Amino acid sequence: MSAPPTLPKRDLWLLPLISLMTVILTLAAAELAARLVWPEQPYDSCAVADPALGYRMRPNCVSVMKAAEGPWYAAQYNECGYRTPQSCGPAPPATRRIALLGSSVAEGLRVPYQNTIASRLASELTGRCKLPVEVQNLGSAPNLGARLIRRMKEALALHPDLALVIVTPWDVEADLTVESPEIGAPNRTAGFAPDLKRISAVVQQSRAVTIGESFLFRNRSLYVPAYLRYGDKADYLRPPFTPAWHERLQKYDELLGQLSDMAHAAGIPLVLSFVPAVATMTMMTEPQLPPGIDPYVLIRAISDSARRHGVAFVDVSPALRDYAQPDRLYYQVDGHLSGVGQPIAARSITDAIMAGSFPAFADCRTSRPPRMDAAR
Amino acid sequence: MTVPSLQFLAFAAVVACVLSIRREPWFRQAVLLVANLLFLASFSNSLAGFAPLAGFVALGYALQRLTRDGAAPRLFGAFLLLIIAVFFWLKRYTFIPTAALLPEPYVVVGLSYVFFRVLHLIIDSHQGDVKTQVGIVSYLNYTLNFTSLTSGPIQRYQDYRRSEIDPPALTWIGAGQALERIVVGYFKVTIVSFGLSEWQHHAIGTLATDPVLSGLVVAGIYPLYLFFNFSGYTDVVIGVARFLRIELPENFDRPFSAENFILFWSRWHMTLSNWLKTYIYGPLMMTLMARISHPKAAPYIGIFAFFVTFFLVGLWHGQTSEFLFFGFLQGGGVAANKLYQVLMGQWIGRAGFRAVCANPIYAACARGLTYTWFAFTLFWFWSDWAQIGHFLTEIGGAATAIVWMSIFAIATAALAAVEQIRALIMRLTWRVDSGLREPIFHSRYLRTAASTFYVIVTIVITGLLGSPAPDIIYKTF
Repeated sequence: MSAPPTLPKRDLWLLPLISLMTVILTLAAAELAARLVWPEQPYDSCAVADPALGYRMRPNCVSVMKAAEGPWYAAQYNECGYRTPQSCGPAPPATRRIALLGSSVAEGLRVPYQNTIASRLASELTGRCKLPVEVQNLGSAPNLGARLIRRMKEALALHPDLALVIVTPWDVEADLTVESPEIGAPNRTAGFAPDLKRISAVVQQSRAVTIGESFLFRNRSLYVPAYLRYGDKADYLRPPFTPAWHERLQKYDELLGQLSDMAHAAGIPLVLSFVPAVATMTMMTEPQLPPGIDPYVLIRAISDSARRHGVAFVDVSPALRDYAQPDRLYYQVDGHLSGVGQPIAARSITDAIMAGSFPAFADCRTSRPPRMDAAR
Repeated sequence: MTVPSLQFLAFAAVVACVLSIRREPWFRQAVLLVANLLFLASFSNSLAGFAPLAGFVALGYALQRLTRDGAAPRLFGAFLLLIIAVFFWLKRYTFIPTAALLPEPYVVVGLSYVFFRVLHLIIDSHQGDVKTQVGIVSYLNYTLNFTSLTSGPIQRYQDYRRSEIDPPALTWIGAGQALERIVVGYFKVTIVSFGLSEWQHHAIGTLATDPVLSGLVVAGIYPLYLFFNFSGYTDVVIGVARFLRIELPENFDRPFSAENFILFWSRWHMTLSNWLKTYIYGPLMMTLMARISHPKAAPYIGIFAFFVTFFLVGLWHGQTSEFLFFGFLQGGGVAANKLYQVLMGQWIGRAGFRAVCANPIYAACARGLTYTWFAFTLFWFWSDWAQIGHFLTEIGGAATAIVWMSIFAIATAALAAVEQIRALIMRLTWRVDSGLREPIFHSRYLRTAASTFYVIVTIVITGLLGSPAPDIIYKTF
C-alpha cells in the first residue's frame, strides 16, 4: 500500500463526505432491496368510508394485499361486505351459521383466507359435525366500542346459531369511546418541519427497518426487555392493574355486558375468545419471567368479566403456547397472528364449541378436552 | 475482556487518550503498565489466580538477567529446559502427572504467547542480540502487552523496544489506516467468520441426510473460518496498537495464495512460524550439519529439521493426542513437500522444476492441494477422535473420497479465480497526488467507502443477531 506522507487538505472534508454518502447509499440500497424482496400492500382497496363503522368493505369486492412479513393474498367480500365466500342471505337449510366479530385478528388481516380463524372454524366444524357450517366474518380492524355494538346488530340480523367475539389485548387497550379513529393510509402531516415525529414516521415506514425488526424480535433476550420498557402499553402484564388499565377493563366489561344482553335478547349464544398478543405469548413461553410480570393477569380479568355476563370464554393461549415454534405464530413486527397461528386458534375454538352446550352444535360432541371456562 | 468487543475498543481508546497527555517515556511506560495489568485483571476476580502467571513471568525475567550477554553458559541449557518445563506444567500437558499439577484454577490466558516472548528474550539476551539492559517495566510491558496478550502476534523484544523509546508518529493517514484495520478486523470476526461457523455447524447437523454436500461444507469451510477469525483478530490488535503508537508485526500474508505447504506456513501465523524457524529450525539444522558433514545429506537434514519444526507447531496448539497427530500432519506435510522439491530438483533439475512451478495450471492445482491438505489436517484441530469417527461413519468411505476430491477441485478453481480477479483489479490504476499511478483498489477514497460499508453491516447484523462476537480461536492456545 503506497500512501502519501501527508493527507491533502481536501481529504479532511472529502473522506467524511464519502463516508456519509456511503451510509446514505447503503441505507437506500438496503431499503430498495427490502422493498424488492419483501413487498407490502397493506391497504385494502375494497375499503370505503362509513359514517357508522369508520369504513366498511364494498360488496362483492376483491382486493389483493400483503404484509412485508407475510404472503400475498386476496381478500374477497360477499354482498354484505363480509370476508366470507358464502352469501350473507338466509342460511341454506341444515347449515349452521356462526357470526364472527372482532377486529383485525377476527378479520384475518394479513392472512390468506384458507388460513383464517373463520375459514378453519367453518371447515373444522363441518368436518366434525357432518353438516355444513358457515362462518360469516364480520370482523374488521376498527370494530371497537360502539362499532362493535353496531356490528353485533348486523350479526344478529343474520340469524346465526352462535356469535363469536375475538378479543385481544389491543382491543382492550384501545380507546373504546372513540367513534371514528382514522383507518387506512397513514396521515400525511402538513408542512415540512423535520420534527422528531416525522423522522420517526419515516423510520417506521422503512421496509428495511421492518425486516430488521422482524429478525430482531425473534431474539427473546432482546425482545422481552425491550417490550417491557413500554410503560402503559405493557402494564397489562404487571399486576396489580394501573388506574388506566382498570378503567379500560371497566369499559370492556360494560361493552361485553351490552353484547351479552343483545345476544341473550336474540336467544343466540355468545362466545368470547381471547387471543394473546405476541408479547403475551412470548412471556408465556419464557422459562423465567422478569419480576412483577404475569402474562395471565389480563386473561383472568377478561375471563371473570365473561363469567359475570354469562358469556362462554375460550382462551386460545394454551394451544398457541404448545406450538413448537412460537415465533412463527405471529408476524413479529406487525404483531398479528400469522397463517400458522390463526389455524391453531381456530382449532382451539372449535374444540371449545364442540365441548360446550350450544344447541346448534349439540350433536357434534367429541371426546376432545374442553377449553371452556363458562358456558351458557 | 474479549478482543472483539466494544469494551476492548473503549478500553484501548481510553489508554490512547491518556498516552497522548504527555510524551515522556516514563509516562508512556507507566500508562502502558497500568493498562496491561488492568486488562489482565479483567480475566479473573481472584488475585491468587494470577500467581502462576506472575511466577512464570518473574522466572523469565530472572533467567534473562542471569544469562544475559553469555553469562552462565553452563547453566543456560538447563535454564531453557526449566522455563520450558514450567510452561508445560502450567499448561497442564497430558504427560505431566495429575498429582503434580496445581489443584486450584488459575489464569493461563496468553501464557503460550508470553512463553514465546520470554524464551526469545532469554536466548537473544544470552547471545548478546539485545543491546540494552531490559528494565522490569519494559519487560512487563513487552511480555504482557494487552494488545497482543491473548493471541499474539509474537513480537521480538527489539522491535517492541523501538516502539517504546521512539514511538512512531500517528499521522492522519496512519490513524485512518489503523481505523481501517480495526473495522476490517471486526467485520472479518463478527460477520464473515461467524457466518462460516454457523454454516459449518448447520452442515454438521445435516450430515446424515446429505452426506456429500454437508461433508463438503464441514470439511472445506473450516480453514476459511479459522483464517477470518484469526486474521480478523490480528487486524484489530494491529490497528489498536497503532493508536498506542506500537508497531505489531503482521501475522498473515494471503496464505491461501501459497503454492505449496512450506510457503503456506511462511504466510500463515507468520510470527509463530518465524519464531520456530529462528529458534528451532535454524539451530537444529546447524547442529545436525555440524555432526553430519556429508554434502548429500544436507537436503535430508533440512527435511528432518522441517518435520521437527512444524511438528512442534502442531504440538504447541494443544496437549491432547489429537494435537500430537495434528503436529505430525503439519510436520509430515512440510517434510513431504520439501522431499518432493528435492526429488523433483534431482529429477528434472532446478530450472526445470521452476518452469513446472511457473505453469499456471500446475500453480492452481498446487494451491488447491495446499488448501485441501490444510483442511484435512485441521480435522484434528477442531474435533476429537470420536467426532472424526462419527463423521466417517456418518458419511461413509465413498462419500469421504468424493468430499475430499471435491474440496480439491473447488479450492483449485476458486483460488485460481481469486488470483485472476485480484490481478485484474490490481491492474486498474489511477494517478495519485504524487503523480504516480496506484491501483484504485488501494485508493483511500475507495477504502473509506468500503470501511464505512463494513461498519454499517457489522452494526446492523450484530445488532439484529443480538449476540456477542465469536471469540478468537487462538485465545485458547
